[in-house]
Amino acid sequence: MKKIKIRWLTIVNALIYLFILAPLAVVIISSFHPGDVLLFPPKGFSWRWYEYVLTSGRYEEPFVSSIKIAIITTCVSLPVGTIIAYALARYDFRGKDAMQALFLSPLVVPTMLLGIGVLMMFSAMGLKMYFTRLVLAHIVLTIPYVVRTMLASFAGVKRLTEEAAIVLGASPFKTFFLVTLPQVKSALAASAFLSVIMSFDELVVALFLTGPGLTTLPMIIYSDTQFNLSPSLAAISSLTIMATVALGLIMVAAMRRKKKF
Amino acid sequence: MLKRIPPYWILMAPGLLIFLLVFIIPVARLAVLSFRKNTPSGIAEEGFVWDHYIKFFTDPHYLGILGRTLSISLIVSLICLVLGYSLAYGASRAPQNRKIVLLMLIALPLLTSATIRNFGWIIILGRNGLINKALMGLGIIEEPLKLLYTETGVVIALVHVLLPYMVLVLFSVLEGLDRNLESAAANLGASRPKVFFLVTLPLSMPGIVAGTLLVFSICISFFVTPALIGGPRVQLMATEIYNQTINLLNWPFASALSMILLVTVLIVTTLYNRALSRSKTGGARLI
Repeated sequence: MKKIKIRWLTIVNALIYLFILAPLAVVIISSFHPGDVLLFPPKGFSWRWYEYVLTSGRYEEPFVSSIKIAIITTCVSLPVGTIIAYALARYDFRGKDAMQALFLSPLVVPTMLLGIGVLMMFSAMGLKMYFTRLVLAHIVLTIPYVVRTMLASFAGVKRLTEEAAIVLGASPFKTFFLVTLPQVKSALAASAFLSVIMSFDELVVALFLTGPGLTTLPMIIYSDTQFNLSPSLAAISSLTIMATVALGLIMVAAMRRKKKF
Repeated sequence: MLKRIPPYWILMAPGLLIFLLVFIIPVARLAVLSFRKNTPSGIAEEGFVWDHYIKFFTDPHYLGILGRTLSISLIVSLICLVLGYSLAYGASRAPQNRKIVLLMLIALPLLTSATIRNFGWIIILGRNGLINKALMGLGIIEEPLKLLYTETGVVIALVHVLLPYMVLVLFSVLEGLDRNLESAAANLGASRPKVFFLVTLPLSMPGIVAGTLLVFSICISFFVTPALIGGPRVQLMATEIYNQTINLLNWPFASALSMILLVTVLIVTTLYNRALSRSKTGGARLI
């Protein structure tokens, strides 16, 4: 009696896992179709569209732009977010809750509003600066992830080690860089990873803030999905899936190894 | 001079500056702009009119968009709740080493963009897609079903995009439950369904409320899925705001729509945080 019930749940859940993974699997499988029209299941197997994606040059510029944006964004949001989290974790002051709410609020406010707001502000000032304004918006979008991850991690750092360093004569700067930061290394890595992925995958704000001469990879994938379904779209999507999942697995593996030692 | 400023303000200064310039001012400008008149020669510099809000709340077309957004979000949240509860329950009862694999299977799709996941659904739901081919091959239907560019398609794809959030909230609550209470009920003679409905389910109520509100709040402002799977036939708030901003260039009206969306989201989020603070186990506070 008992066993049958457990199996019921397992069967239902297996179906839901199938539902979760099916769309990704379908994209990857159809990318191997050799023909010109997107087909599922594919007839035959070829690397043709991967070759096309890597050599045609169509995706090169958007890819480079996306990587550039993600890296510059993270170079700003990681240090800025980390010191915000440090201030919130270490000091008690009036308005602390409000500050924390402010720095996490981009998680709640619809991202579209950020895109429209920044677009309207820049055009009111008569500025184009597509690249700069997109990076600035991405910094705002990624800071909450850094703050949230680092806040949790700073809470776990033993105050005693910091106090010991100060007592032994280290300056607050030295203490922060030599005692505090090494203890939160894996959280820093996780924050950087989240920030890069969030910026690299971001579409909605990019739709509003880019302009002639600047296209990101998510934008080209989006417009192809809308107007130009093709096996090459499946191939570039598969490459993106593989790259992000591989990065994610490396992160998880690295963090689990850290915990053991 | 510098000594007088407390260190925490110095630490937060760069972040505050960025947020002020790129977040607070732009969003506040949207609020102001939503009360400006839209004249043929451009947006009026001054003045204060309720025109855009009146237009929204008196035109059945726009009210319909808001209603459709809310009803689709409600349906999506409820489906996510049922599927998510089943997954979270299964994962929280799995042996320790399998738990991590199951959670990763659930969370990994979060790393891939919604666009790509929706592209997968287009292949599955399309006129010549997987479902139609399978059903026609089996002889169950003769004409292909219309799934793409319908509300059904949008709901399916949205559930897929938002399910991981639900599972992660519910899992953290179900993991934190005191399992002794279940054993106690079972020892006292309660049947398994009784244990579940009288002990487990009520204890996980805060997670249920929080997860549903979280999914609901993301759903009402979601853009990619209605744009790709819904097409022009299924207009929701987000796609309408995009349309008004980019295609019709009616920025004051787009701003008013944005403010209506923002207020709706903030109401739902406040309820969400209140629900979570009532649960001692919940760890997924948004703000």
